[in-house]
Amino acid sequence: MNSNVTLQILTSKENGVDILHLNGPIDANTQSDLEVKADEVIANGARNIVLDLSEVTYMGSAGLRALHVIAGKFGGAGQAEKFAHVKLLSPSEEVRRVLKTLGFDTYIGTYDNLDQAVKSF
Amino acid sequence: MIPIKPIDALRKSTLLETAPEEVLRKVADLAVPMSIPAGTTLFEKGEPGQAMYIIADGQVRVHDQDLVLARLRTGDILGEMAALDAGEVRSASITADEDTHLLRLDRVAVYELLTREPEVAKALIHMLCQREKKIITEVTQRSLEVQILEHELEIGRQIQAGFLPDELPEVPGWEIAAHFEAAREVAGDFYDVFEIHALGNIGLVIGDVCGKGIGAALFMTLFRSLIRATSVSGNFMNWANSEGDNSRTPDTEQPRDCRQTLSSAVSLTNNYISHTHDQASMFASLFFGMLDPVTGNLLYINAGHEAPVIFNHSGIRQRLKPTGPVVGIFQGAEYAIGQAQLDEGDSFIAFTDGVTEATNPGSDQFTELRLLTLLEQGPWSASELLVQINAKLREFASGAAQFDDITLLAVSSTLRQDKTRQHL
Repeated sequence: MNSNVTLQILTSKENGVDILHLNGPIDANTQSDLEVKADEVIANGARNIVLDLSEVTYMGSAGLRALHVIAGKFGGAGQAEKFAHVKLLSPSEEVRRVLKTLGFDTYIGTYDNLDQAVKSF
Repeated sequence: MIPIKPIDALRKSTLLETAPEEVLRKVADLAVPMSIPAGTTLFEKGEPGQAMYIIADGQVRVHDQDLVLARLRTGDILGEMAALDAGEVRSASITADEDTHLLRLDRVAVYELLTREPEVAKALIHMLCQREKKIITEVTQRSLEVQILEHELEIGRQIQAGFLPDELPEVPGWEIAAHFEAAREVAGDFYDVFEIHALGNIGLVIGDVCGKGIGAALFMTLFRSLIRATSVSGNFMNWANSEGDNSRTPDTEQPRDCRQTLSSAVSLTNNYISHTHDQASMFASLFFGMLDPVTGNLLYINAGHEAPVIFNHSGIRQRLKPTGPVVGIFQGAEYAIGQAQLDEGDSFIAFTDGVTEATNPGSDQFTELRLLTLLEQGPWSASELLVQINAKLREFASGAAQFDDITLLAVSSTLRQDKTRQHL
């Protein structure tokens, strides 16, 4: 998807979990902004991250790749370990469809409620 | 910092260094001294400008947002273009690198000066000509560099073309057609059609490596090669035979079946790439089907790819949905094997998201719905179908730039009602 719309990212913290609130599309143009922000947050000591996708208008394969890259920054031996530190919050129907088609849904935890997401770590 | 006298600053400037004392004094009277602390932006690109400046002491950067074009120091002049050319806007932004003292000459004063002091006018012309020469040299240099890069990309494109089949196998009873259109010189999409002699089956592959450009293209070659190499022969080690090819089934080979071959090809590719290239986080969606040309039986693995369609004149019969995740990042992932049947009159089509996400100038997408509607209308022979789809795509896009690679692979049964089938 070609878009000149930017991705806004706000951060907050809840019970020691860093939350990235994303607003806009996560596509080939904006995925690097997400990665840079994640780097910042991790450099400041983040151990667990929740990505709030409730205001994400589009997320394609580039966005899913960014998820994998971010998860990779936490190290971890196998797949389960890797995604243990990154969870998703309230993706739209369309984003859920993409997560399901590409098979990410069996690896990355998705929640509809911030409390549940934060408690899941 | 000791403030310096305007006349001393002017004397240092490249514009006025040869000017006589009275001229310097006159300019000093017209010039307005000012200071800006480090980090201040004097003016922004695009703003209208009225004045030029001489740097009495300090350093500024000439920039376009984050791109620094030049740095100017004590004695340099700046902003002369907007000051000299009424109506022109600032061609770049100026921000102080350090605390800087400037002398400001507004346009009216500058014009007067140039009119009354031809030597100053000459010096200014000389300075502008020198600058133009420098720009021309740089532009020429850049053009050469771009040409070299474009040449390299063209080579890349040609080599990558070698990773796509130049001919599709002729299979009695079946028509196979493919369409591939890269968005740039090199692509992340791929397709493959090959005979698997050991099994008497035809391999049908379509894939889409995430991302675009060179990164995706490099991984495309890896995905395509691994899938083909591990499945064309039942035993990858067969390539080590004395003929240097894999066309003969070695005596030592264990007979393999389609399911096992499909499964190992995808798992091996997935495990190899996710393990070896873990850092790259590169993955591909992939559909790999094995068609038995005698029975029309199609076994397949769909790794996170848009579901291919089986359809005929009475409509869409089946969607071949994902049976596992994308390939290349989830080491150890399991891929189930799906099964479908292509009967007489049936057609099969696989596509990449460059088709469904093709945009028109209004930024609408082509969508899967439009594609499916086309399939219901026919024609249903593979090559005619692709011609139709392409025509509709082009019509829809109406000139908008192609953003993503477009790949289509179609197979149709050419048999008529009578049940006689030729044995291969």
